[in-house]
Amino acid sequence: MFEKILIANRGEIALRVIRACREMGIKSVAVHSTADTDAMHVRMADESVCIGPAPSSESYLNKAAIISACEITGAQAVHPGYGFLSENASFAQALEDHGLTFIGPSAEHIRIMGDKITAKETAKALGIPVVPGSEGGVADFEIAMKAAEEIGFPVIIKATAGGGGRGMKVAKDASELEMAFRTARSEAKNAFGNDEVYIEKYLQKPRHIEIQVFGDGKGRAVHLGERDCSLQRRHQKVFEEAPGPAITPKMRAEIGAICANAVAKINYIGAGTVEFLYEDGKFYFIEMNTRLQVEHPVTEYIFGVDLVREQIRVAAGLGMSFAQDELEINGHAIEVRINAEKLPNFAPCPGKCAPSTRRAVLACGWIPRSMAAIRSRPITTA
Amino acid sequence: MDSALYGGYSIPPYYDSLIGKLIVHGRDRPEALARLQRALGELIIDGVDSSIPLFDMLLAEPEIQSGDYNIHWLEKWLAKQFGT
Repeated sequence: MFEKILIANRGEIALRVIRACREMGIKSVAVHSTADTDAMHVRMADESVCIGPAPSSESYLNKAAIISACEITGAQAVHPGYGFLSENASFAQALEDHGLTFIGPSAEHIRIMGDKITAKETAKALGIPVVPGSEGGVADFEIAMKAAEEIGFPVIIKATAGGGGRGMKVAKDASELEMAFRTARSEAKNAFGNDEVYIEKYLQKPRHIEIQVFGDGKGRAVHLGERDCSLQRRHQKVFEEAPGPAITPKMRAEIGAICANAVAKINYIGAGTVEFLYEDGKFYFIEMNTRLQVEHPVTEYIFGVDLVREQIRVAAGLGMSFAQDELEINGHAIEVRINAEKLPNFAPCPGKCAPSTRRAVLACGWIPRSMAAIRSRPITTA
Repeated sequence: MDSALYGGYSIPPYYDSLIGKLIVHGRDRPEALARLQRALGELIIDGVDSSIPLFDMLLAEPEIQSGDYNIHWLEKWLAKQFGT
């Protein structure tokens, strides 16, 4: 087992990893920018190293500074948390080249899943269901109709060169296809100078369902059910729950086994999440995140496992401490993300939090809903 | 509550606006929802605006209570509530 781990992150996830290290008898090293000198993760770790100025590009994303910090402190492994360098294949590779362990999947797996097209092809080859669609561009209306009938209506026609909604048209049934096809092509031509379009199944009211997987890097893998993260604003999740309200035990067992088998086949190591759109009992692959997720605690609560501890174990070459048939769901868990943002526009709202004479983050008794507005003003009674 | 906040801490403007995660566990979904509502009522973050009021409002929605939502639900709801 490692004697010392460096945490290449900040905020609550850095604390999460420091706590897991402490429970495992492993020393922790925090790294921080000059803006985070007083941050909690710096206070809580056994050691800390300043790795650069405030902008993340010069500190939390500064690979050379982080590797130097490992060398100075004698840390043998790096936990990347989420965000920052957690899905950076060249960082994982650089650590390996320096004889350090990246607590996460291999650089190769990060690279494969980091590229949308390769990820989808790989998922498909591993038996994971993807959104049905035409193989590449469709040259004319007859081919489009044939493809649409095979996929099943409704379908969406998208510009190959596209993005941002332009060159995208939905056809609810066969009668709408010709118009949609021609409009999408002319929009694509105007917007991108390329009128090639392709066709996919159109999902009307999908849910975002993601499957937690975990591999030992030696061909064994399990799934830990799903999380429903459909409540999103501009693709940012705000509320996550497990198990998913729409998912039955049978569906969970089926899609879970597909995902676990897929990652087992590639000798995946550590935590991963296979994200799907879900509609009418069917799952459609979006992407795979090759890291721990912000919302991992809801899974930990219902299965009674510690995913960070498990990540550290498998990175150290130990096996997983649980098998699929030992994983049972107990109850229901929900996470809400508390952001320093002001409603209604969600404008970021940094600033000084709670002078010490006032209450900061605490349990202080029930506040009736009618009084909830008071919370947005300073509390002076403490 | 998973958070790196403490009394007197200044949230720097350079990074993600996530300052904490409130996680609840119950024997079933209604119990977890009730616990979430109770815990939100006890949670005070003083000095900065936060997304706590959003969750107070969301918990009052029948479709959140019943779990009947999809990936478009929140943006439609926000548009209706705030016209954003």
